[in-house]
Amino acid sequence: MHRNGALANRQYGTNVKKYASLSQAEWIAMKLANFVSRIAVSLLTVCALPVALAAPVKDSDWPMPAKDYANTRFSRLNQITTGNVKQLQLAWTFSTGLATGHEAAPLVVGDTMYVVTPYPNYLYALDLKSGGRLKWTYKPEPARAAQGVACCDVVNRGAAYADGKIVFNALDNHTVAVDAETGKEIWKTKLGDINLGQTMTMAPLIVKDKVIVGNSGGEMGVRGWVTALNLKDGSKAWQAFSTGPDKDVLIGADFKPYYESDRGKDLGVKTWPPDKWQIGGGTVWGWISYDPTTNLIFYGTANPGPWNPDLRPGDNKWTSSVFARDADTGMAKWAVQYNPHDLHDYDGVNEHILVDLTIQGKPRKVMLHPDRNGFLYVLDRTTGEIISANPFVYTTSIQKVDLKTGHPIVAPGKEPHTGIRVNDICPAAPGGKDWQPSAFSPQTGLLYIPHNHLCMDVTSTEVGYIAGTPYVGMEVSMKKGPGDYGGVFSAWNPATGKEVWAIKEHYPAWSGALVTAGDVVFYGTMDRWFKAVDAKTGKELWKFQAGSGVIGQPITFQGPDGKQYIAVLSGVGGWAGAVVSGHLDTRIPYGALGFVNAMKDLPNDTTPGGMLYVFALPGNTP
Amino acid sequence: MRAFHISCRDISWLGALILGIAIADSAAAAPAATQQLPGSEQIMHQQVGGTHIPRPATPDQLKNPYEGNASAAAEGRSLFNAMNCSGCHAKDAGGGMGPPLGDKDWIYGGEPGQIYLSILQGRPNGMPSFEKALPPDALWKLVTYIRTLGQSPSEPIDASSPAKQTGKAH
Ligand code: HEC
Repeated sequence: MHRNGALANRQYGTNVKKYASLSQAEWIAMKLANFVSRIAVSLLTVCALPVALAAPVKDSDWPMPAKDYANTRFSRLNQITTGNVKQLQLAWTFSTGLATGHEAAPLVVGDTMYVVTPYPNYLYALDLKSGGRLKWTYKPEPARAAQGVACCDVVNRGAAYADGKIVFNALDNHTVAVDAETGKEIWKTKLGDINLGQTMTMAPLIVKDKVIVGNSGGEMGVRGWVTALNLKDGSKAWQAFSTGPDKDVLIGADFKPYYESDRGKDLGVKTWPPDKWQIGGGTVWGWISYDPTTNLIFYGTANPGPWNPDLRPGDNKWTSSVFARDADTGMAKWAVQYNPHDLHDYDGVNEHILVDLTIQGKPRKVMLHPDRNGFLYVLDRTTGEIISANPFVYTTSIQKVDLKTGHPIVAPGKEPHTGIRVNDICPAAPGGKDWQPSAFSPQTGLLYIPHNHLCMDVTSTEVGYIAGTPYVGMEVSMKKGPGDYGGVFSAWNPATGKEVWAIKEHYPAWSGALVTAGDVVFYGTMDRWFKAVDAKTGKELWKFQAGSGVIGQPITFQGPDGKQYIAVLSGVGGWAGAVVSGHLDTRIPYGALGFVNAMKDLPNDTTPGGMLYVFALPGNTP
Repeated sequence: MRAFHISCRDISWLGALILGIAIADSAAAAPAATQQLPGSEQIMHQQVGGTHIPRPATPDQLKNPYEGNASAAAEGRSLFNAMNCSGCHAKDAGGGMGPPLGDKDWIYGGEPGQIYLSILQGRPNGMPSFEKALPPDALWKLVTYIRTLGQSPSEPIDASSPAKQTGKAH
């Protein structure tokens, strides 16, 4: 692994080392641990070992949607390679019985796979020793009415495992912990109110003894927050709002933002018209990463509400921003507002992938963030300095990111105003990239980004706040980008700030990405393909036609039989696929907040329906 | 026509307040609807209302006083946007958080009385009840507008028949 890393360094002229990669001693310890992994897992489920939680993730397991705290989605498993992946075949399948968008990553812990579904958020435990036999199902029974306030289909982005518990969020604002062995509910904590338009769709991150979760509802005038619950009993440890006074945002003396415009008292109030911060969005529905060496968590906040920017003059802090916070106390360490006074629904919630790079000869602790605004940010994760920000998609709305101020420069004529139609804003509201998470390989040094190629025409409208209903104020009609395709899957070199290869897709590449030590990259498409491509060249090596479009997060694991498996959920939906999962009217462009117009042809290519697919190489032994 | 008299101080009639003009006698002097919103501190904690399982429906006895009335449909259209129906069902009701309303695929029935009850009572999978927010007059204008979106179903659907309620996955 280290040797391969060195190879990659030479090849790309950069010194790339995965942040979470192991030292020699740790590596030997891991090797030893692998021998006793089965025993260790059963031990873990019975003893509470908080220390073990901070340990590196076992290669055979996939205990959180992003695989590791650094959010790499990289697996060291290497039985499946660029040479043999073409032989990959179906090992077993499992139907979820549901027909809405399946965005979750399955989890694997020891002999069991866990799958959390979209609403009604079933948790299935499947036995890996017997082809996915159903061990048990846990049903949190979320309120039915939650379906009506979920902005963009009733998706769920996955669960997380620690300390013998599977923890996930139900759509109606309950975080639940379930005994990983028995499927019995251990605790269930209510964190929000659907009557105020709140929902929860994100995957928790478990850090030491805390579960960190955030809310959804930026289109409903919801005030965003991130909350830490005690893993033991679900009680609240801390909560940090994205808007409002510093005491609510957990900003104190330790807060040292890098940029001038992010300094000052109570900016979460002062950058809004009176009271509007209370209904101002900044929800936290994306990915959280964690750096154990500094004990900081990193996450982005969503768009401000309403979308119509004329109704909220000011920077609207801290929407469309990134926070670094102390994991134990929640206190903010620094923040950067990616899109002050956001104009185009450019949330900041996309993943922050923690890597160590050598930039201009200097080793830097950075994080990579492909933002909705179409720029790929490389930030110093110790200070919040933006080291570089380059466009990774076709863009007309943002000219560049000014590295002195940290602010994007909006192109003239691309600012929406009430009653005025503005055409050809690219990227469209779902951004250069939406929730669909990228993967980073320390072997190639490349970031693999599933993304969109969309533009939009908008007219801002007046809108009044009515609790529990949308608070948007913009008529949007999206379209596929120039060349009439809707998505791209690309490989990006963060050290040079350049694209290495790209694959055009007819629809937005709305699935997660996975990259392995076999140098194989996996992703799915909305027109029902699940693909394997060469991590270095992007050459297609294998593909499989699923029953429905693939928008889930692929994972890999080593089964009890020692073989490497690949797993992914199919089941089209989500914001991009709502036209199919919600049976929307393709004659009207404005459906699904304008996404329908770009996806009118999707019903010709897929029907809804959730199915888990698990693949392996032929033969019994590795 | 008879119109409801709405007191602007009665904030439980929030919806009527927002669209006061659309349901007043004279449609002429209509400023932008949202300019009449009370301060955000007043409305912040108001909600449209939860949903409940519909009462047994007798839609046949509910007659739309505006059926086929074009100006009522136009008022219904502005209500549809101002009451944020368009937020959930999209402008022109193409669908989003709520189902599309212009196709023939009704969950709870497309007859005027059935649509009226959908709006009045709410529906369990996330359609809020507007009983407290809008007077019957305004509801019927919404019904009239929705009826213009698509053709009525060829065969009337009985809203109380569960077999017919599964047409749309939402
Ligand atoms: C918060 C989102 C939301 C708002 C606001 C909303 N709706 Fe709905 N609506 C829904 C959902 C979700 C359903 C589907 C409910 C179900 O399946 O039980 C629905 C169902 C309906 C139906 C029944 C459709 C059918 O196929 O039978 C009608 C009619 C309707 N809504 C009209 C309206 C009108 C008129 C308004 C504004 C006064 C409105 N809605 C506001 C979410 C909403």
